[in-house]
Amino acid sequence: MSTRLRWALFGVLLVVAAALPQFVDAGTVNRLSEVLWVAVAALGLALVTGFNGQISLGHGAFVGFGAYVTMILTVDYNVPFALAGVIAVLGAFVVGVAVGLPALRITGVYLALVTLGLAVLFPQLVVRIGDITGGTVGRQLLPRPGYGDSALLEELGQRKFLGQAGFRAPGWSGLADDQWRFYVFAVVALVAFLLVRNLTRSRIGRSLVAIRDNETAAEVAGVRVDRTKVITFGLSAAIAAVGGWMFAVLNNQVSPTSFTITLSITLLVAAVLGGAASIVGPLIGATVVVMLREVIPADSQRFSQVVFGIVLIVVMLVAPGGIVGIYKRVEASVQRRRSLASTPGPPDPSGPDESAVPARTQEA
Amino acid sequence: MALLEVEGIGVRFGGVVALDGLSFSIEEHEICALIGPNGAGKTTFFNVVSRLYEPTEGSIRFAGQDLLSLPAHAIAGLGVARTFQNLALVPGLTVLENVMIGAHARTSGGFWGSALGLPVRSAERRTRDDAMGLLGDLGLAAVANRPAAGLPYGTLKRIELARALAARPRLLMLDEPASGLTHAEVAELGATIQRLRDEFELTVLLVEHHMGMVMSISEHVVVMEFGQKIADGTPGEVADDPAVIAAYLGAAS
Repeated sequence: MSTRLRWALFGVLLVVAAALPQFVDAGTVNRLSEVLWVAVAALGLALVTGFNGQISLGHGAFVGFGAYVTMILTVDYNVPFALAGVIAVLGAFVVGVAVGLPALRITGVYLALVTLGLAVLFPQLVVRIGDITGGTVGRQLLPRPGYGDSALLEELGQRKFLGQAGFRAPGWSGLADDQWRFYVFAVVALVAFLLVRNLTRSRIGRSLVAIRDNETAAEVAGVRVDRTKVITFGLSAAIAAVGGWMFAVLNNQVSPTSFTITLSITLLVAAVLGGAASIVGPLIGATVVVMLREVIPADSQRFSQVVFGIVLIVVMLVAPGGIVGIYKRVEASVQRRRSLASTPGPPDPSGPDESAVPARTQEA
Repeated sequence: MALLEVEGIGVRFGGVVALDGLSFSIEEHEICALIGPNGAGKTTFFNVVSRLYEPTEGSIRFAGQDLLSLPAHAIAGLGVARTFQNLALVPGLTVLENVMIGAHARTSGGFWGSALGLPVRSAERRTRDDAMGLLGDLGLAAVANRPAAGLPYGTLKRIELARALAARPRLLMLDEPASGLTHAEVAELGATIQRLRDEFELTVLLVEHHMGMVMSISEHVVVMEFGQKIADGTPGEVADDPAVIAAYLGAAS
């Protein structure tokens, strides 16, 4: 796709995103907000798994971390939402680095298993420290009963302690809460996607892919493999926690059932379905995943896990590059056909062995 | 002063002695070939210089500096680049990006700067232009934007060469660059190596089985067998050495 077309599509997307909340009902706006938080969380996963090749089945835990830290800070410590988000994201980076360090020693399937353990552990841990997390029922991000006159809180909430009364649209905006929330999410998601896009297209981005495909080649070229992997894991956890902040803000309610292994798998499906080694992939994947969840009736939600499992298997077998991968393949074949049709084709600099495939590693 | 000074390097894998007291030195700007039968320890030596294998004994000095005190990722920055016998390209990147990876050690730009994008953009363009120039130099400009997977073997080998050059090394180590190439390509490769040596002021260390090329382009030949050096000298001296003839043709005794 040409750069100009790409920017044009990006512009269209922005205009649609800006206009949409004005024309649909609050429920739909919230669905769109949900797409955004899933997309951001999946973006974090795509960075570490898609680009860097460190398989994580536990990113739901980082989303949960972000959501819980946001809830605890805003409700118990009167921290404004924005600041709570920053603290949650920085905290998740530190936790991500702590998880990423042992991940240096283990790779592939073993890393998948360890992160799977993280996903299983997280809800249990939350229940264990029920005093501050609210245990199995979780807690709300709204004023606690008996805390004070709710009308007074309402007023305070809009002036000073925003956190105490949920995430509200400021008066000057003239927007409903759901609309304001969506716009804030859109800006946050835009920033996250742009930063990751820049990163993946840079010197660092190349080293991430080099580490994924051939660690030895990366190291010999001068890439600090261990350091890069750990920082990437930390960054990925931090981005997932941005998704967690968005979750808390959207739902005003945080409970352990939201951050089980199901969420980790959902994020993986979103990343892989869209195309894990791409930037728009997670957004496309998140849209499909949220839509899938919508069409599955609420009384058979368990069925959604079956659907996601099937989707994951089919994508891995048929199109490992996801939706973006399919698009790129079609585009490449169209280009090849076009270049064959227009020019006789330059003599390909070729060796004797046309069928040779590159071996990935050097031998002893 | 020699550029690379190898002093008594030994490598053991369990009970297997892969390198045994290997010593030799390479002068700046020479093309030195490391030859010997399969299993003599040539690639093992490359991996020691790349710091992928830890030697059990010995020392290596590069331009007077203790090479073995550095971690693997610092070797490229020191001025040593290499290619791999069985290729070590990154299939998920384009040919151009593979070459740009080679410049990693001499470029800067960390996570934060890269994510913010702005300050590194001009450096990025320079790296890209430089890599494009190398691809053009090696006749690979036409495949620059293709994925580095699925191209012909000879092309892939040249991409690796371009990637090593992108590091602007002082010492270029080539592990069997002629393997899998046709006769015509081998002759061309020999000329290319000599030309690159002059153009980039390189010192070249070459592991190669193709004797015609070794004898025609190297000024210095080190012969190994069973992890030990058995001969060291000019191509002419080495070719007449009885130990070398025995190693290659079998002992007459």
